[in-house]
Amino acid sequence: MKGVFSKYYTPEGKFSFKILVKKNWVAWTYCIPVVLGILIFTIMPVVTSLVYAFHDYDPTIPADLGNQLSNAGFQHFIKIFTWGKGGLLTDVLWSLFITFRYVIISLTLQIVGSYCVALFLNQQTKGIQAFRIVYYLPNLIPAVAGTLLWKEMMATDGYFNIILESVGLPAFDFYRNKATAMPTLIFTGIFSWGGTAVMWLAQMQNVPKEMYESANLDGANYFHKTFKITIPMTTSMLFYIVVTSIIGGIQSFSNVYPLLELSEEFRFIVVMIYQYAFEPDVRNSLSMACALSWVLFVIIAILTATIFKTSKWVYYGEEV
Amino acid sequence: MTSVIRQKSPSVRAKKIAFTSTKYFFLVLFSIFFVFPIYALVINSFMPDIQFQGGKSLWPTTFYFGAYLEIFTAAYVKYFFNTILVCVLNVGGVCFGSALTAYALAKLDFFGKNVLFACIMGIVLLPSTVLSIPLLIIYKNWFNWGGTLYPLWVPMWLGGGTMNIFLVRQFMRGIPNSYNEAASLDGATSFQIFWMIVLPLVKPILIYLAVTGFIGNWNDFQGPLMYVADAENNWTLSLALYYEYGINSGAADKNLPNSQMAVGVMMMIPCIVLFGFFQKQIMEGISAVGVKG
Repeated sequence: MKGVFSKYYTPEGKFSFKILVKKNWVAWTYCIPVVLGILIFTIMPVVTSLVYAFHDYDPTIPADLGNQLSNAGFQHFIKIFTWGKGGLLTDVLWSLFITFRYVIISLTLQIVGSYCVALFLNQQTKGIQAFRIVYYLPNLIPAVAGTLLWKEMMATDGYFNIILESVGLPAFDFYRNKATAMPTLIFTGIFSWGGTAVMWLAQMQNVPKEMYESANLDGANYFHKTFKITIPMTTSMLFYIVVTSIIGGIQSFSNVYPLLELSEEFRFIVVMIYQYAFEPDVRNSLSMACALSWVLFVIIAILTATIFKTSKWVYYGEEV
Repeated sequence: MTSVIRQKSPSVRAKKIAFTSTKYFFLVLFSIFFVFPIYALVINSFMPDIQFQGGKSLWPTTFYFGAYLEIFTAAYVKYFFNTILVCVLNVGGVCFGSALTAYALAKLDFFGKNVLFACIMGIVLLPSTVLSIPLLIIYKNWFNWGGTLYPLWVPMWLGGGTMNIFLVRQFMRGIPNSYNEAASLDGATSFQIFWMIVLPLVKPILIYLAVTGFIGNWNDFQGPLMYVADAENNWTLSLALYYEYGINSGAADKNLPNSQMAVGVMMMIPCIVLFGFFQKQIMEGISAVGVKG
């Protein structure tokens, strides 16, 4: 402890608060906003959420009466982990199952697919810059507009069924049909590959040219160079994309919530939490929503920790 | 050496031409695939109402501008300005908050720095779902912000988002310390160094954060849905698209996809303009994220 504070000792060898403040106040001033921000917008909600998770909340009682909260103990968590009647475990597990199925399938496809697109765009040809922009464009469609658009295109009289019918196949309700709802959602995700490809591309262009030149001297072909140089040199981006996509994918909301009226297949875990919190007809229980979000937090934390623990394969460049 | 040989041999040359044309063929083919949703969005917005009674086609029977006229109401203008307000204030907060904090973390030495940095990195990994519900309660009951747009931008002024802080900090660490040492020898204060030396040098990453932040907020659906869904005056375009023109619409004539798609096209145009304008900075920013993230 003395080591940390030794800078703030008076010549007589006594700790001085005055010196501590004098030496640090300038830097502390810069940190005032962020510290306030962390306290108000992170610590406070975390505590509130924990309190709510262990209490029953009744919004119909006016707040000034002070009895909106009544102690519930572990009741909400017990309910979440109870199988069968009165419990939520079947619902929660199903929701987690469809969420993870979506994340795993779409993430795998996205990484492989967007990497191929990036390799394809990572060549020196005339006009390649224009193609890169064109491939990126679908990412600029507003999320809600995109969802409404796909709903429209996948409807029984939409473009995809016009194409099917022109080949003589019967019309098909892609989103409403239980078997095709999820594959359709995953298919529409293909159009965001351009965005991921741009990230890969940025990283690919950081690979030193000399590596390819010396590989050429050794007579390496395109596949050797791709597998021995390009892919190993872009693992830091792979790590970034995997972490952000898993965390983001598990929390998918905007792309599935507007589709919920079409199929129960879209009741992802965050949609379920949202419904518990805000949709009175489902069951207005903010407390249950908070408890559920803590369960989700633990799952995400374990996943993230596992990914970070097993990240020895990531290459961050020489200097790090 | 190899190029000389290639030019001399006609068979190799023919092979090269074949290779190049195949390459362009596939580049164009994939382009058509990726542009298709945008094409469909635009074409659907121009389709006359009657075509939605059955008989949609890849090309409208007549180009109909009625959908655009229909959506262009006083309410739309209000939603538009609400969205602009949120985006501008939010992005301003991101730049202000993250630059300020990142400067302290990257260039200053102070008591508690490591603890603060550890906190920030911990929050990066905290899923937003855990925070969003209690935040709603806090905004509503304690700040009296229920149904207002404040929750969508005020928090950004206090810190600017932990991931943004991290990115700006990493970028600032790339600036040689000799710059600020020289400036402080000349008698510059810490704030002068921040404002006149460091800030201009981190402009690329700030522009990247501003542009992507603007586009992200412009299209954000979850935030407005949580905070302003029951206050129609404060709807943003995303929310209006969903409630007013989307599935929950009560008025049958407004429910047609052409007006939905018209709103979508109108929403997309500013994003495309911004992206076109700052394309270079966005690419550079993504590259910085990859190296440092």
